Order: sequence, then structure tokens, then C-alpha cells
Amino acid sequence: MEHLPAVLLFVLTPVVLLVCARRSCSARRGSLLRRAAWLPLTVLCVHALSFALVHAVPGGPFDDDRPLAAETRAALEARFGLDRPAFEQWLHAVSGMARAEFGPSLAHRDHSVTEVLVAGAPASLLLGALALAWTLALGIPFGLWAALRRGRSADLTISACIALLLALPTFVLTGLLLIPLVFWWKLLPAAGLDQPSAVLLPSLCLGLPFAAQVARLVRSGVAEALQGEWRRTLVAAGLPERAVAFAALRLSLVSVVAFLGNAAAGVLTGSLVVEQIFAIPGLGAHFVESALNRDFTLALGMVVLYTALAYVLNWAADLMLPVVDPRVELS
Amino acid sequence: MHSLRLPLIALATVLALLLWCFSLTGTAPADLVIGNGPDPRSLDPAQAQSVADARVLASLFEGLVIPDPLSGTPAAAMAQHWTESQDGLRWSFTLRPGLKWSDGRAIDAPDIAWSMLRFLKPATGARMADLLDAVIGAEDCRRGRGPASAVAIEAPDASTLIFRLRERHPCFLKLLAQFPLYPVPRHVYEKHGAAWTSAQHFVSNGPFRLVHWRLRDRIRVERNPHWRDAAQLPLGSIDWRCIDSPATLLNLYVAGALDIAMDVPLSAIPALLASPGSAPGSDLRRHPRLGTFFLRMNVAQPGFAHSAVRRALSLVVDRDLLCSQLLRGGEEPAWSFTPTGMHCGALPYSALRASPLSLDEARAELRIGLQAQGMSTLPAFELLHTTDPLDSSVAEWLQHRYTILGVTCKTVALDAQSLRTRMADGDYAMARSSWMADYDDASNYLECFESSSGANRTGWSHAPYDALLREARSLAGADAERAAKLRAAEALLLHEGPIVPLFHYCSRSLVQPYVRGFEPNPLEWLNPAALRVQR
Amino acid sequence: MSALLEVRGLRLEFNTAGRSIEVLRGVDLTLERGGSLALVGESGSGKSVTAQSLLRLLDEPPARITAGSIHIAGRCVSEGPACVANAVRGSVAGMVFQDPQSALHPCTRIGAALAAVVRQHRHCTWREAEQRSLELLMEVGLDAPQRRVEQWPHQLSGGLRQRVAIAMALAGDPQLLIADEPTTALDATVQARVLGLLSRLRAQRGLALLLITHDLGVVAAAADEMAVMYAGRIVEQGPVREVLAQPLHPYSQALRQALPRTDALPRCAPVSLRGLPPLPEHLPTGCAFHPRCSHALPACALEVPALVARNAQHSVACPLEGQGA
Ligand SMILES: Nc1ncnc2c1ncn2[C@@H]1O[C@H](COP(=O)(O)OP(=O)(O)OP(=O)(O)O)[C@@H](O)[C@H]1O
Ligand SMILES: [Mg+2]
Repeated sequence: MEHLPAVLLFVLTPVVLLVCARRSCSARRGSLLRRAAWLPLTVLCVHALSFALVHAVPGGPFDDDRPLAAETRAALEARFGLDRPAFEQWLHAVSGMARAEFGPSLAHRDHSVTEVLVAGAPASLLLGALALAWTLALGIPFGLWAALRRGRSADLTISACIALLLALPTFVLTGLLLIPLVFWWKLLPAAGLDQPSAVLLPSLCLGLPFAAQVARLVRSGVAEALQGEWRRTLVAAGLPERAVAFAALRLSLVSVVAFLGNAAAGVLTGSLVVEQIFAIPGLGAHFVESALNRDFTLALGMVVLYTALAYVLNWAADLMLPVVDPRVELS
Repeated sequence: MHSLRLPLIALATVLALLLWCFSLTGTAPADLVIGNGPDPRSLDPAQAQSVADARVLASLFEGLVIPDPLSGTPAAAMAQHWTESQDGLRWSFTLRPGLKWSDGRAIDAPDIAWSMLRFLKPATGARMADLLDAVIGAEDCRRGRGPASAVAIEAPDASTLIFRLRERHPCFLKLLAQFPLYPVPRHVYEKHGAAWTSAQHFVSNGPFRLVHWRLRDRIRVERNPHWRDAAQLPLGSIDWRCIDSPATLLNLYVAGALDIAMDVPLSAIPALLASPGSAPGSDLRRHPRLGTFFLRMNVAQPGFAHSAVRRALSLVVDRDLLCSQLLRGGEEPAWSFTPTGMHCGALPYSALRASPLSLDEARAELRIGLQAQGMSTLPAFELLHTTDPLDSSVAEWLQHRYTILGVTCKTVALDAQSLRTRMADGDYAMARSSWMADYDDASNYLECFESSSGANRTGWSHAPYDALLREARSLAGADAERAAKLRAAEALLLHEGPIVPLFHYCSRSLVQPYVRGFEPNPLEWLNPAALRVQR
Repeated sequence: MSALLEVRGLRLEFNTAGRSIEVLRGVDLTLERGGSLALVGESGSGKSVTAQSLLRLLDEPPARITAGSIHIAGRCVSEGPACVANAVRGSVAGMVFQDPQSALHPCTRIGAALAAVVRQHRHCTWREAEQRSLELLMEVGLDAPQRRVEQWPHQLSGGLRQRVAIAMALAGDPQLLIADEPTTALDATVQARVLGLLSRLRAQRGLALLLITHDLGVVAAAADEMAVMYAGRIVEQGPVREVLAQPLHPYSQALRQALPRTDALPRCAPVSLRGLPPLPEHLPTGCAFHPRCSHALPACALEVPALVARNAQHSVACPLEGQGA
């Protein structure tokens, strides 16, 4: 009975969806159904793998500089269910996952993993969404500009900035932005999320490396698109340079959408460094910290959340691709 | 039109989500904002772990007695007064009248006795459950070998609490001031079980009560109107900011968002010291801590079995150089295991210094030690350290230092948990370690290396050392004699033992000039009820 | 009134990798309003470059007009930056390219692509522009234009795409249509239909046509006049009938001989000439054709022959003027 939701979610749902996909007459709907069927299966596989990995690393959540008495350790292990055979623990975790319950966090003992994730989600989401906005708002115009001024000083400057942004570690980048904006000119708060303006700087720091990636993609994409013969047709028909540039941009967006489909999950779940430097109460830090603390349940919760998010966003990107480029057919 | 509906719905959802997220950003600041450290592991006193956790708990709870930051001796809190029997085996505490939980319910002695027993029960999983081992029946109870009813903690009436000890304890009062022994509200615990620590159920007995806890952000506490001295409490609310990075603490402090930063990055200390006249340099408070950074050596490893070899590895390390060149944060060179400023009961315990550096001596010791083991050179060994940048630089410094003796060691960076595992498994030759005093008594340090101690982890077992500590324990009433025994034990530890003490920690904090009642002290303890703001 | 298109002594070079290669070496072309001129020549002779330079479509750099002038409807487009041609692009002269596969922007619907051009040339609402696009599609002979405007280029066949390209070129109601091998990439039946369309448009709109082709059959079917190009120069120009019947330049003669004497003209006349066409970077001195010419005189290697009028319409750049044949 305990495992019923898990059976429903991980066995029945995929099977039903796959059968429907096979039966469905429209190829589009079939592929949608198939994609939906694979989501729980993918999550399940990643969960199983992570479970094995997490339990294979040395050390446990109750290890401490001060050695724990054997009886206390046993009591704690019993309390968190770590005394049961690994397979049983895994089954328990899977059936919990089906109910969106990942159990109590081992390092944040007053919180369940779900609570920890829910507590961190708004900040990460807000930051990630803004970072994506920065990514697009900076990456696309600068990439376009560089492509249109190819080989000239504007292009060289932008390309240098792109290379720099991609090479700089995040903490250096944040330092470079933090010192003038916060300490010299006192424009923005140093950290925390107490005022709405506090999200600007961290989201910029989070978004800039991605913006650089997008700018690079747009730059090369537009430059390549401008080699296309359609360009002569438009120019010969009397369309201005602006229209031609936008038409070229349109073609370069395919690679941007594909890139974002992969990157967005990472942006939305946040980054350890940015969250640490700006004291953002988000999710990003849990990725690393749960591993360091051997907080098995939280680590698994994060992995599942990330996998599902990455899957869905990739899917969304795939759905977007035909919109951006009609030549791409839904497979 | 149809094609527009879906994107519009999606857009509206995203906007609504963002608005909701934005609505979480506005928080009015508390009367005092303290940059504390990572999120507490738990607000359950039995589960809490670090010094930072303890500070938060100290604002929410109080014990029978509380440490007095200035004298170090415990002062009255829930207990109004207490008596110790002549033989030191019976402690009787009288509670203040009218004590209440933060929900207004009265606190009586049976509540506190229940809370102590809960702390002992294995099911609680208390980290420092051995704290009360001196009490009759406590050790059996926490090991699950005896019933809770056999534990000699009794409440004969509503305002009296009696502890009976199986042997005299040198600093029982200091034990009772420890945060794991803060009372837990029985009525809430029995109603909600483990969920009693969640913000909506949480009830405590300290000067402040919990308002909310946002993970990785802050714990907001406000004045507890039911506290015994609530009218005199200067602060209406405190924000404990849960920030793990010292660099972020510094940024926030410099930007004026913190009134107190409980940690300062080591790398910023030279710059802060360079400008002592102006903020933030003038706000820096440093104080020696009761904490030691040292190296452990595994005596089972080839070459490390002979004490002369271990001594050589200790002699060659110039602690003064380490502190003045590498650390530069005010850390004190450790020539002994116990930090300076430590007490033995009520008396100051002046620690013994290891013999000062002599390279020739070190070389000679190494030769002797190796010859005794039939070796010509010490086999290359691994020096384990954590990935913490300070740790890594210390390890590299040591690696370089050991080349003077012609000894090669390889530094290996591990995450803290892996390092602990390897130490616990005895799978190491040399590893970085640290020990922070729970309470101010030299025995708290030296007992680590008793053969039976779980904190030993070196395989070092030395009968005379164990005997000296045993004797010291038996002298619980006589601090001077006890100190002599402990000093003798420490001399043994430094000469024969498996450790290389490197430096004693230094607490570093930044405190705005308008904050009063902040008393730097060796335990990094903070009395939240004494803090006030005077602009 | 001057001719619709007048090209005088046009010289153009490409500067690539520090070297400059002269590709057009004094091109003269004249096309009257409503007239039609076919430009023929071997691959690499500079036909496309000529056509594109008329609307300044070549990237500058590397291309650069070094001498000569281009006037379209009285406007000089050869002086100044490439954008001076904006005044004529689409509105006076439209252009259609060889490969309909790549000539249309792949991510724009047919209707939107056309409407954008329409709106560029006349002040009107999107709705009106869409209406106009439908008319244009109808005019170039697309069935069910209502459905076509919603389609993407990749959903159309080559012939339909070429028609859409023609519609785009006509969206600004130009007086001149420059068609650079518009039928080469299409199969035979489609080719004939597109040629038919061009003739019909000429008749209906009074459109002048500059038709670039390899195919003498196409020339005979679609043009009144023709110009023969060799190594960046016009070597012969005259009425199609006359040039085909009696080519004066040895190169034209060789081209003509390669054409079988049947009524069903082959699609691509295989040009069988001795030797290879010269590379623009290694041009022989004098007449560029002389190394391959069976009638070459010693003087041919020294002096570039000028285009001399043989009669009112027919001129040729060869001292022999057909005597050698
Ligand atoms: N962008 C360019 N850069 C350098 N050289 C070029 C460029 N475009 C064309 N050329 C050169 O100009 C010469 C003429 O090319 P063009 O395309 O006009 O020939 P064409 O007569 O149209 O041949 P085809 O029948 O194959 O289309 C060729 O030798 C070619 O190599
Ligand atoms: Mg061509």
C-alpha cells in the first residue's frame, strides 16, 4: 500500500502513456506522450544512480569531530531509517519521491527535504529568471552588434569581453562588480534579499557568463546566417540593413534556444558561489553542501528536482525549436 | 487568437510567480542584526552542533545557570541559588519563582528533570549525551542499559531539582551551563514530537522567542514577554543572519547591513589592522579562543611508532613563524595542547610549553627514533587536510618545513567528512585536527587522548598518562592539586604523544561602536540578553 | 530621355588577401525601357558580378568599383557608398537569383516576407500589404495564394519558390528586372513556365529584363538583344536574331557552333572551346580571348580591342569583325 503512488507514477503512468503514444494517430501527440512517459523513468534512473553514488562515498551524516557513542549513532540511524538494508531504503525513498516527500534532511534536522527545497525555490527562481533575462537582454544585442561590425573595434571589444567573462571565475567577476557598485558608489545592497534591488547584482553575476555564451552563439550564428543567399534577395528587394540584421538574428536563435534548454536548469537552481557571496537563500548551495554534509536525502532531493527541471526545460526548448525554426520538425 | 492563448497563460504564470518571489524580498530589519554563521543544524538543543548554533540557542533558551562571559564562572539563570554537598556528590538547585515558557505556561522542576532525561535517552540522539555521565545512572541510561528512572535527577517539589553524582566532578556547574542541557518544553514535545522545533510550534524559555526561520537567510527572534526579566531586556528583536561565508559577512558589515559580524575572513585581517583608527578597522575585536589547531599522528603507521620520531616532527615546526608569516590573523603559536587562558576549575591553568625549537635536537630525535625502529629514513607519508584554503596553505607550509628534516610528505586535500572517516578508520599517517573546548577546563582538552577516549583516534595509549588523568579526576575538589596532575599529563602528551599543536584559534568579530554588551571571550559565547544598542 | 540602364566602362576588382583581382574590365551595357537584354558568357566571365554590381549587392570590401558608371533610370548608383543603390533597389530594379532553394529567408512565411517588402516601398498597413502580397502571388501564377502566404519556403517546390522570389522582386513595382540565371536550377518543364512568366510580366508591366544565362535557347526564347561577355568585358552586343544568325566575335561563333541546329533547343549548351577560360588573376595581354582564338593576329596579343559598332545595333570587340569566319 505504501508503494502504491510510486507504482502508479513510475510504472503505470509511463506504460499507459507509451501505449497511448503508440495508438495515437498524430505524430505530434505521439511524441509528446512519449516524452512525458520518459520523464518519470529518467527521474527514477537518475535517482537510483545517485542513491548508489551517495551511499558509496565514505563518511556518514552523523560523523563529527566528537565521536558519537554507538548507542546514540544507532538511535539516530534508526530515526532516519539508515539502519535498514540499502535496497529497502531505496524503495522507501522512491515511494516517498512519488508523493514529493524526500524525508527529513539530515543536516537541517528541523526541516524536511521538501521544506528545504520549497524554502529555497523562490529566491532561486527569482534570481534565475532575472539571470535568464540578463542573459538574453545582454547576450543577444551584443552578439548581434559584434556580428554586424565583424572585424571592427566594436566586434573586437565584445569578443574580448566574451572571452574574459567565460574565463573569469565567478567570484572574481562578482568582486569586479561588487566593489564599484556596492562599495564605491553605494548603488546596491551588498547581499541578502531584503530589498527588491538586491536581486539585480547577483542575477547579473549569475547571468553574465551565460550572456557571454549567448553573445558568442549569436555572433557566430548571425555572421553565418549573413552568408546566406536570402540576404541578397532582401537587400535587392530594398529592405534596409536593420531588417536584414533581424532576419539573420532570427536564424541564430535556434542555437540560442538549444543552448538555453540545457543551461536554464542550472541557472534556475542557482549557483553556489553567487548564492554564497550574496547571501541568497536559494537552492544552489544545497547541491554542494548536501554532498559535503553527507545529507543523503537532501542531495537526492536536489538531484531529482534538477533532473526533472532539466528534462522539462529541455523539452520546452525542443518544443520551441520548430517555432524558432520552422524547418525543424518535431520528432 | 487560439495560438496566442497558451503563450499568454504561460507569461501570466511566470509573472505571477515572479511577483510572489519578489514579495518575499521585503523584510524590515530587526533591532540588532548579527551575522552569525551557517544555519543551525537544529533548534533542538540536543541536536545543535556548532558555536554559531549555540549563540542562537542562547537567545532562545537558558539553562539552570549561564556562563558569565567575563568571569567564566556560571551565573544564576533559571536557578535562583544552589547548594553543593560537602562531598560534592549532591547538587540541589532552587528555581526562581514564576518561571514561564514563552507560551505563558509555568516551568516547574519536574519539567526540567524530564528534559534532562529526554536528553539522555538514546532515541533523542543527543550529540553530547555523555555530558551528564557524572550523574548516577546517566551513562547506563544513554547507553540504553538502564532505565531513565534510575537516573539520579530528582524534582522533590515544583521548585527544587536535585542531582546526585557517582563521583565528584571538577566543574559540574559549567556542564550545566552547556547549551545541550537547555530545557525542552515537555507539553509541546509530547504534542508535536520531532516537529516541535518548527516555527509555528516552537516554545522556549529564554529572553527571546522564535518568530521565523528562513533557511540560509535569517532566524528572527523577538522579546519573550514571559521571560523572567523581560522588562529589562534592551532589545526588541534580533536577526541572526545565517551566512556561511566570512567574506559575505564582511561585505554586509562594511555596507552597514550588520551590527555584529561574528567572523572575519583571515585574508582581510592585515588590511583591517592597518587602519586601526577608522571603521571597519576600529571595529575589529579579537580574542584568544579556547580552540587548538593541531596535527594528529597515527602511531600505527610505519615510522610513527616511536615517540622520538613524533617529537622530531613536532620540534621542527616553528609555530612563531607559522603565525607571523602565514596566518597573521592574531592566532597564538601553540607550544602546548591546551590554549592559554584555560582554567582548571576556578584556578587559571597555566599550560606547560613544549621545548622551544631546536633543529639539531629535532634531527637527533629523528635519527634516534628511526634507528630504534631499524629504519634509516622516515618513509614518505601523507598529510591529510581539508579543502579549506587556510588548511591547504598550512599543509603546504608544513610540507615545506619538513624538508628541513629530509622528510617527504604529500599533502592530500579531502572534504571534511572524508577526512573524519579516514581518521576514525585509522587510515592516515598525519592529519589536521582541531579541538574546541566545550567548557573552560583543562581536563576537557587532555581527556581527548586518554586511551579510552573516542576523540583519540591516534592509536596512542600511554598508561602513565591515563593514570595521571584518573588521579586528576579523583581530586575534583582540589583545583591546585588537580592542575598539577593535569600539567604533568600534558607534559607527557607533548613529549610522548601523537600530536603537533600548531596554533590556538583567535576569535575575530566586527562590532559597530554603538553596540554595547558585547564581551569578547574565549568561548565565543554571546549573552543576547545583555546586548543593547546605544546610538 | 536616357536609357533605363546605362553601364559605361565599368571596372570592378576584388581585393582579397592583399591581392586585387580585376574581374570587370570595362563593361558597357545599355537597356531601354521595356527592352530585354540577355547576358551570356562562359562560367566565370563576370555575368553575376556585373548583375550584382548594378544594385551594389557585392560586399565592399572586398569588391570595389574602380572606374566607369552605372545609371539606372537616370540615377547614378556607382558613385559613393553601397547604400546609394537603396534608391533603386526594389523600387526601380528588382533582382532574381539563380538558386531558389536558398534565395528565400528560411524562417519567414511567404506572406510575411512579401508584405515586408511591400511595406518598404509603399506606406500602407499590414493588412493592405498582405492584400498586395496575395495579388503579387496571383500575378506570378501561384495557385491558392491564401494558403501559400501561411507556408514556409521549405514547403514549396523550386519552381514555386522562384515565383515567390520574382514576386518579391516585383513587390516594389520596379521597371527593371535583373534575373541571374533564374531557370538554371529548375527542371525543364518548370523552366519553360518560369520563362513564360517572365515574358508575360514583360508584356503586362512593360518591364525591362536583364537576363543572365548560359543557355542560348533561353536567350532566343526570352530576349530581344543579347550581349556576349568574355573575361570581364562585353565582346559582342546586338539583336538576338542577328548575333545568333551571324556572330561576329570568334568567341560568339564558338558559342553558336556549340548549339545544335534543332528547334528544340538544349537546356544547357555545352560550350566546346579550345583551352580553358582565363582566370581573372592571370589574364593574357591584349584581347583576353586570343590564346584560344583560331584567327588571332599578332596585334591581338598587344592591344585590347574596343567595342566597335558594326551597324546601328550590332557592335563587336574584335578587329576581324567576323572576317575570319
Ligand atoms: N566575392 C568574390 N571574391 C573574389 N572573386 C570573386 C568573387 N565573386 C566572384 N569572383 C570572381 O569573379 C569572376 C566572375 O564571377 P561571376 O560569378 O560573375 O561569373 P559568372 O559569369 O556569373 O559565372 P557562372 O556562369 O558560373 O555564374 C570569377 O572568376 C570569380 O572567381
Ligand atoms: Mg553567375
